[in-house]
Amino acid sequence: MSAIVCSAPHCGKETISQLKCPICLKDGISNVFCNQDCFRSSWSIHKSIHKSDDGSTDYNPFPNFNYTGDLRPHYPLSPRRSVPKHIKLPDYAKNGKPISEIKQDRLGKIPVLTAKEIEKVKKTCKMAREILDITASHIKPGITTDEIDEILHKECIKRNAYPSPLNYYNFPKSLCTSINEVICHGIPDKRKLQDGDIINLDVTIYYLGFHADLNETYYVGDKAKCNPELVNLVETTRECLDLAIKAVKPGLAFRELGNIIEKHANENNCSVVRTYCGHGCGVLFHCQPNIPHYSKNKAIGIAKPGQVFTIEPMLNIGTYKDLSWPDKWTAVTQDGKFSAQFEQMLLVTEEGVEILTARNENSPGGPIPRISENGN
Amino acid sequence: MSFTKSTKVESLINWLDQNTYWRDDLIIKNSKFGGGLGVFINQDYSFNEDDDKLLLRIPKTNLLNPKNSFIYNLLIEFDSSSMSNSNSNSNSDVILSEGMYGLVLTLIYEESIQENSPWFDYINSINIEDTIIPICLWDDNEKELLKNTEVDLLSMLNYNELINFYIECIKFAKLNEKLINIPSVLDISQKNLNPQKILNLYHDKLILFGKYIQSVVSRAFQVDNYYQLSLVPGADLFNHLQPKIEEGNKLIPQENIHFTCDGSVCDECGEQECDHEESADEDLEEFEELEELEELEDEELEDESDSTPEIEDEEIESKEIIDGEPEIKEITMEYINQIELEDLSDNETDLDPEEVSTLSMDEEDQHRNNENINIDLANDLSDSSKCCDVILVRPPLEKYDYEIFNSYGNELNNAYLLQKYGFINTNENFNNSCLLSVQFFKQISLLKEKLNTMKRGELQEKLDWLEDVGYELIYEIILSTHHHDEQDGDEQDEDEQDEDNHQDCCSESEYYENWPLSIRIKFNGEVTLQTYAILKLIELKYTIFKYKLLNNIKKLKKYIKQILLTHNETDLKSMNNTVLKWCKDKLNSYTPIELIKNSKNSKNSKLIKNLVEQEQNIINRFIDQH
Repeated sequence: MSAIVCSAPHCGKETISQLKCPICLKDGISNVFCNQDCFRSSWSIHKSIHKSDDGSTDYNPFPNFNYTGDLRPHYPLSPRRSVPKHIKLPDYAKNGKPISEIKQDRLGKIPVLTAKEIEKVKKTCKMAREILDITASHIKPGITTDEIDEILHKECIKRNAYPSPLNYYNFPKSLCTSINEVICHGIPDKRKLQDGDIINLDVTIYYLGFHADLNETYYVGDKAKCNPELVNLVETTRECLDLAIKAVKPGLAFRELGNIIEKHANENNCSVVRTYCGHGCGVLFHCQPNIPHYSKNKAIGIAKPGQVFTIEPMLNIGTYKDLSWPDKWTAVTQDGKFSAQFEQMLLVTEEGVEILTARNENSPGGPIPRISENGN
Repeated sequence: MSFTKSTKVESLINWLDQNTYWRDDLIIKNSKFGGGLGVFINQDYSFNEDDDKLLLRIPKTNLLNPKNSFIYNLLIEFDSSSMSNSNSNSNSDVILSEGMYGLVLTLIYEESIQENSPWFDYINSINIEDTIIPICLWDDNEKELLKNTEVDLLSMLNYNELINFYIECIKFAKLNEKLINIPSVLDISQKNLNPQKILNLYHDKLILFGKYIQSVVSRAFQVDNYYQLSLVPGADLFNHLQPKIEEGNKLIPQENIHFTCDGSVCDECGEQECDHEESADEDLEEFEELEELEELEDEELEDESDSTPEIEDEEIESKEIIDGEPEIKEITMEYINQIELEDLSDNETDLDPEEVSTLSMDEEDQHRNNENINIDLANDLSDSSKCCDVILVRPPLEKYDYEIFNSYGNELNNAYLLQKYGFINTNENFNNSCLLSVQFFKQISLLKEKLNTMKRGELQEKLDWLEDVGYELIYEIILSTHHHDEQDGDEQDEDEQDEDNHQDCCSESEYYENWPLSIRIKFNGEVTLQTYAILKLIELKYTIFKYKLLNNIKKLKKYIKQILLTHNETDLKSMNNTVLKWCKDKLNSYTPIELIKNSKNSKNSKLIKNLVEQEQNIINRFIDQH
């Protein structure tokens, strides 16, 4: 029998304790905690897998919260998915704390990868694209984001990859699913996709010692594709990313990217989110450089061959301002209007740039033409 | 600041509005007193007692410094590669990513990309071309006029460091040519550069490079241990006002403002609260735990006969670990309900202030209508720990047309003022003193010629002891016996001492980093106590030196005090006679004042004359007293 691990996501240690969550026990599930401390400090996260007090299996955990749009969380969350022992874990998988990232943070060094490392990261990125494409192919009205999470998780495990978001700073799921007014970091739950939604799948995997990070926004059903404002948002965001990528080459000052993105966004009546940025990615999930997407930023550093980083602009129909749900992850627009995002992971080459997570011919999603407001 | 372009003031103020809080009734205009632009306040300004005296606040992320610059990753890579190629003939002591070096290179590169730099309007307001040149690049005639002054003796006329730095910068530029165009001041294609080649072939570029350095050195502020030396737009506009000296050699500061910022941040990331120091602590804790464990094991070994089972104690302890809450054997529903109640009340208190702040931001929003930058700036400015401030400390005066002055350093002597800012205090500078170590070493070498081999060896032993052991202790004793306020001298905190140093007679115990530098006459015409101690040591009978100082460890301090720092009248007289001879020699070593006055080649003859005269006055003060 394998050793029992403490159910507190910030602990992750093996334990012989007998302290169990009584609510889980009622449902015949055994969740063990090292001690009272582990239970107490993880309670607010742990309880998200419980049914509501009245036994409901679809409830809003923050009924008093002033939601900015129509979207609500649909709890309980499914229990944390397990990862087989043979899969190599990033340092935060056990207790949620990415120690190596914290140590690297703001030292100013931007990693430059060796030829060997580049070979590996390319493989990881290719796999991440494959997993995103398979997962995205299941998007249709009626499926829950938790079911999407399960699909992604299984695809990762099948390939011996670790789903990077899982337990990163105690994030509970294996990818981020951001619907409609959610800007980013949405938590997969029992919310069913509806015709007319847009959803972003943000996938990161850890494989061969490297993280690969990409995301795309998809239209759910045909209704979304007929909404001119929505199509403009999604397509403008897609174009912003493409324009920014075109500018990447050795010698680019990272602070220029925001100017390109915000200019195109403004020309198409969209605003640019300022709180979340692109980032270096590779051995670490997040590292230097920091890539703001808004203009006149003071990003540090200059591109040179061998650097790997993401650009991932988030554009909104209304205000650029964001707000976090009480789950401390889900970032939504302050006015509840929709938000879209696209992300690619890039390698700076001698000649310019290589999109490591580029789309394939068969990738689901992809650009659609804008529709004029009068319905043509 | 004298080298700010008056035509660019408008765009500079515009930059300040977008990137800082800049009190809007401040006026930037020509100053009669600073010889260029200065900052003034409206005559009918008012500061109530309760008002905050903030004139300028700038987020640290808006400072111009290497860590905020687009070239920072290249600077770091250059440093780490030159550190690993220590066999190359590079100057490994030149670290391009830090301090003055990093800031000069940052200024050069941010300037070279013009409008693409976020600091364009600020940099554009600096008149680099017309900045003075560093004194080490003055021409030889002028340097000759400065011979044997403090400036000369402290090696400030030596250009080697500057040129070596220049060569490193040229290398950096060439190495990164594919990424960034080489700024014209660094564009020298010749290979295998050495100082002589630079001086002979690229003199004009070298002078221009010197002006970049001077622009930085004269403007920069030390910010904190993360950002270090930085250019602080706005703060560098204020002119300098020298301190007054009152009866009793008391120094009275005159400046109107102080530059302040929280300097106690993490060296690694610049945050006040971060995991870097914590993880260092954890390492330490682990280490301590390990030590404790070892100790425990040792004890166990020793107390094997002791039959008390220690496990019991540990069990009791572990039960008490959880802060305050009683240990539970089982998680009950009551317990969960109790947690829920606690979380609920926590959340309420957590939420309140946040809601208030979003409300006030929304109001601001309506006024400024979609000006994203201003809201971000307002956010940055609201956290004073992440900003630098310029604060009013003394009201501006009518006699200066209400100009607001800074002090560039009330503690700086003329040599440092000249090196950093290109001027000296035109009145006598209280911080000046006069080095006599040249005369001392002259005398030592004469002495050595006269002595036989054995005696010469003995003299050398004394000097070696002074270097290795003696000087530090002499300084310590002088420091501890010289106070007025503290009752217990031995517990003196050195940091405190440093702060008070410049204010009054505490400068008596001023620190000189090595003993030759301590042989000098102070502003008031007295010789330093260190000088007497060193003279005494030279004269001391070798046997006394050997048994009481050289081979003595236990009572060393006591004997130093007794032998080297206590003098009777005859001793003093004889030592003063020696110093008197040095003084006369020193007076003769300066370029004669007449020659300086008539020097036609020098633009700076007036300044040099003043500088030499101030030094001579100090020496004459000693001569007059003896």
